[in-house]
Amino acid sequence: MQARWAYGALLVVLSVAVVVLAVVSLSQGRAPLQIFDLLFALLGEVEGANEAQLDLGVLILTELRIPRMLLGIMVGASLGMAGAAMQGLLRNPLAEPGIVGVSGCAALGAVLVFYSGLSAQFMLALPVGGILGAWVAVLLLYALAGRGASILTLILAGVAINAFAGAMTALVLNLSSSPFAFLEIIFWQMGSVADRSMENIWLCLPLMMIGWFMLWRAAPALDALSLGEDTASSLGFNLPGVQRLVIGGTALCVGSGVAVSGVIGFVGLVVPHLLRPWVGHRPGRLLPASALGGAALVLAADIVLRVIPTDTELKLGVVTALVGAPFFLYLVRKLRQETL
Amino acid sequence: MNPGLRITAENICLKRGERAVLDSVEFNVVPGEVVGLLGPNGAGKSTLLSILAGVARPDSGVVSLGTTHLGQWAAPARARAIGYLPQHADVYWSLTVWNVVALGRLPHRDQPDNTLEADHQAIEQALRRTEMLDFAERPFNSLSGGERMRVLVARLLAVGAGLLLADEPVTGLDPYYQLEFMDLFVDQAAGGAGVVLVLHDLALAARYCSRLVLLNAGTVIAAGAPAEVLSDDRLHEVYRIDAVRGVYGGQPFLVPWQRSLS
Amino acid sequence: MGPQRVVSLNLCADELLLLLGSPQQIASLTWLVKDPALSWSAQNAAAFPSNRGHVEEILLFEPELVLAGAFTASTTLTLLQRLNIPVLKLSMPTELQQVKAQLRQVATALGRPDVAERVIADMDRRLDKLASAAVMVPGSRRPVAALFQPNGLTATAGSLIDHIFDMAGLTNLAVLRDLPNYGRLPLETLVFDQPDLLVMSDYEQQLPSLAQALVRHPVLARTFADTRRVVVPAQTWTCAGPNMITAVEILHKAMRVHVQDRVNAS
Repeated sequence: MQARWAYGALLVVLSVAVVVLAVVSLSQGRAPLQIFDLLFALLGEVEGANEAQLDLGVLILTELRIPRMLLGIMVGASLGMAGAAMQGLLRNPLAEPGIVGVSGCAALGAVLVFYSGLSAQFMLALPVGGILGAWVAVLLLYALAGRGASILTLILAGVAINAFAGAMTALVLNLSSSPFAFLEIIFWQMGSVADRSMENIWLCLPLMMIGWFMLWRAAPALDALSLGEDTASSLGFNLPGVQRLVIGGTALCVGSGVAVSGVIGFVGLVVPHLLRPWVGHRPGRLLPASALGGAALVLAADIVLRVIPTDTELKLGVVTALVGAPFFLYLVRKLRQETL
Repeated sequence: MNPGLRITAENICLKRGERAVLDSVEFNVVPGEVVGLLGPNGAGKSTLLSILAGVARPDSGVVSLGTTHLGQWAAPARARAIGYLPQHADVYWSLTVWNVVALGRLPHRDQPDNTLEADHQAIEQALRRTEMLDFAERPFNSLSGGERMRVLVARLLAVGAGLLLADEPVTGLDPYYQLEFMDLFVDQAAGGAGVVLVLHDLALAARYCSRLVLLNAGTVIAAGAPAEVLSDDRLHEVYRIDAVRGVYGGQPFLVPWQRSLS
Repeated sequence: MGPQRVVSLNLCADELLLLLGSPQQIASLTWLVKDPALSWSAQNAAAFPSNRGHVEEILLFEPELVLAGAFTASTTLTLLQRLNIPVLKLSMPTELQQVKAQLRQVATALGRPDVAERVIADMDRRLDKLASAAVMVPGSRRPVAALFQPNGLTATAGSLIDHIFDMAGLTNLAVLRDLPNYGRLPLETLVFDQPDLLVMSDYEQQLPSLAQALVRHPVLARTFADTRRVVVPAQTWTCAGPNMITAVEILHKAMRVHVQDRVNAS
């Protein structure tokens, strides 16, 4: 019983962290806004003085900063949750949408749809392109690494998929007739939530929510899988069904997120690993915790890159890589000592 | 515990490639029995057990649980009726002993009449029964081999199923625990469960099981009381050994003694 | 007579050659000038052979003069000079006086100095016309304009477009904000500062890119009414030449419309 309380407390702490970071995120930006005045104004209590200025501030808040903050939360939650789910399904602590190539292929799908002009005609084509790309990546992963693959095999498969996706993305951008396309590879491979609009949010939110729901439904099965596939099956879990939930859920939420924000790596690796001891190593409980943790991490990274004074804004993926890549190295080393 | 149901398997066949792993196998177990499933390595015992548990599918043949075809049981209901402990069972993540055993309650999670209290009690009882309650907060991976096995058996018990299927639950354990587990399973049967155990230890099988089924190369060689099934001829033919028999305290026993000559 | 078989290796040099030279003088222009999205001289240029700046192509034309731009490959130019082919390397003017000087320079090199004078006179006439219709925003402050191009690129101090703004009687927001060279104008800054005119170019808008998407962010439509936005064709200011006067005219007109709107509204 005590464990339940501890879990509840953890979720509360993480939620509070997300809310605090969200407010801090709203206060960051090039325009000098008085954030609390604006928040009150948004809620309808205008002071009267300098109404035009207030209106403008509210506009910047609602059109620029709130979308940025919301997208950071959505993408972070998706990456955290999907990372935890993949690790639970594959029983591999290094499984993560970026490392195993799911994000890279999602970017490829989105790039194909965007630069061919398809998404200009059917807006939904963009997140769908990302989702299809992500889905293909997981299928490829299974084909290359098989079920119950060792950690090493999985990472190698991920390297292959990432190499393929990266090369194809560069090729598509190179061949695009738009003169800006090739430079934009930086966005797709390094990720950003800057200068997005509420349109982007509405575009990917429904599909993401379906993805989150599917992953959440897989939680008990992931717990059962701790005992191995046969025991999990005897406990009433349909393995192909669980795979469908995790693969589909991951493709939906990571795919639609990458389509709008580019590839942001390592969130799904760092967050579950840090939170795992706090949820008693239970894969099922790790899912909601990682969603909140992922949201907090991405918000924090997005705040950091706005605080650092540079002329051209740093890319989000750079900041998460600065934290995540050394972490990845540390994990590999630790796992080598334990297993191999 | 759920009232035990009867499992009946008829004409089970399974091939892997060209090799017939199981060929026209008949099997059944009723509540109150402890059935020992014996045979040399590669006889098909584990495969048969996994088919009975509903985890693997035969190429042909029918498995019935109660009066209904096993395939027609909804997975959660089946999971509540049959508890399965496969060979080489392990726990991947660094869970505590309590949490490992708690996984046995997963089949009950959607049941309207199941409460957290009931779960808690079932887990506690299972741990008590296997003398692991004091280890409840310890990480599973910090335990010795014997202790881990006890936790896994506790997990099996926590399901509260009327049928217990365990694949080599005592192989490699200290004699104390071997005997303890066999007593435990006999107790469960006495309480109304049907138990099937895959065993390698002929002495234990002969002593504790109410009925034995002997497999060799995918077919049932013999089934029935231990004395019949483990006759000298059988031991010679299937295991290529000779055994020494005796009676102690009114109970017959046998001990594998030497490899057969000729 | 002037040099014959003149070859141009640069888009802006192409335009000057078409403007100032006689058709018989022209041997080859670059492939860029034939793109109507880049140049208004595309139709005139259609008849002439294209080159891609490779030395072998150039030599085939046996040119008596080669016009090159500031970024034409130096290896190419060195090679041409070694083969004793006269090369005129054009700079990138950022001010009206420099433009006029360049017109004269090229026309003289082509042996037709009087053409330059005609063009310059025409430019001056158009500018005079604008000066007489000078416009001030109520409150007598010079109107503020901001250039917002794909990726948020803007016209920083000393650039050609900055000069064009000045000629149109506009203050450049990028200069007010002291943005560094080749700097970007952050979207939030643009929205917060509320310049009187939002200037955008129309280059390649039909092709999808994230750079273009930024320019179409919904917040711009919500904060800048139609009369405060003006699109300037890229062909007017891709090269510094007489076409830049068109850009000045467009900006000037947009400002007049905007001021009129504000007067009507108040």
